[in-house]
Amino acid sequence: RIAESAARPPIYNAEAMHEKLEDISWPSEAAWDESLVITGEDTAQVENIDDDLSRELAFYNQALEAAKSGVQKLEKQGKKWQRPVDYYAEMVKSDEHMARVKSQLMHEQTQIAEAQ
Amino acid sequence: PVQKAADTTPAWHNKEKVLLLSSRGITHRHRHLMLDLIQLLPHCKKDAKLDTKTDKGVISEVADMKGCGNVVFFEARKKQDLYLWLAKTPEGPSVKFLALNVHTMAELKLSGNHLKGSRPLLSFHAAFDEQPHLQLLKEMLTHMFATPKRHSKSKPFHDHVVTFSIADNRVWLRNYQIVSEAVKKGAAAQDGMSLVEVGPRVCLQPIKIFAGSFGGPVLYENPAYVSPNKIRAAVKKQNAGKYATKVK
Repeated sequence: RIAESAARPPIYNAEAMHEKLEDISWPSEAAWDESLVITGEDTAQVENIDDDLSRELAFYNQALEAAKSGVQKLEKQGKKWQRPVDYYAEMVKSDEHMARVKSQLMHEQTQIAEAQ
Repeated sequence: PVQKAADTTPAWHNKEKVLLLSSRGITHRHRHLMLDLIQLLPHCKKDAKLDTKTDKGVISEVADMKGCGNVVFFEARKKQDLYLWLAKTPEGPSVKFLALNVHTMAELKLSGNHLKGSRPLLSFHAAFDEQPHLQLLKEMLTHMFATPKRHSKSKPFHDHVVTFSIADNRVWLRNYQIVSEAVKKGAAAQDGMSLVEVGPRVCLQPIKIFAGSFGGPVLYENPAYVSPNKIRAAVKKQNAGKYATKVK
């Protein structure tokens, strides 16, 4: 069975995939506002995915570029994108959890200070 | 329904809904990943754990009953491996991923936070437009992660970016909070902008793309994919015979 799968080239049916894409995709006149998708321009990919720092940095940069151009687009449309300071609403992480995050950060900083 | 005048075609609106469910035997970390996704997707519906791993046609029926056109299915295997299915129902296509490197929002090193239900900016790597299977993945991910505008549970501000990147033929998901320094009037908002990671993190290795939902003809298979079972077996084999060599 292994020999068979080695002999057979991997399936790549580009035509059918294009058809499926046309079937499912949203109408082309859909406003950008509906999806908020921003595709990057930098085609470079991370070479060594085991290098955590450079990998995460690449993702961060991609996200930052997208955030900047997204905000620019929103502002061009005259939309308020930023949350007002006095707008309180439920967050994805609870206050209790954020307090734990904060105390962890403080703990790390004091440890660094002690080590020095 | 009353027909409007023919020349005023109503603008198209996103009304996608997503069904989230898992199989039985899911681990705590993967369950937390699912809960995090529920936080990120105000337009999702959660269903009870599915008892079967063989008959996935049932899922399409559940999605139909709940009125969802998209499904995210967490398939746990051997109480350690997580396979993630993304499917458009009922017509397909569907994708099977192996989910690796899962980190959840609960981790303390991910210190960002954002509004629950605010609509994310979706950032895609340029490579998504280069190959047919990635184009398909981009469209499917967009359908699932874009929160519909004016959704009742969404909030009218944008304070996070969900990022999909491509590296090593895998899809990497990250979610960042947008932090904007208090800007002086006249300065562009982009200048003082930075990001803080909120989580979750996951790396998705595509295994196969099927034409139908949870089945049908295969459109794509990943030649680089090696089953985690085989990897474990290889490691075991390498470590085997330690005692025998020692005795000699």
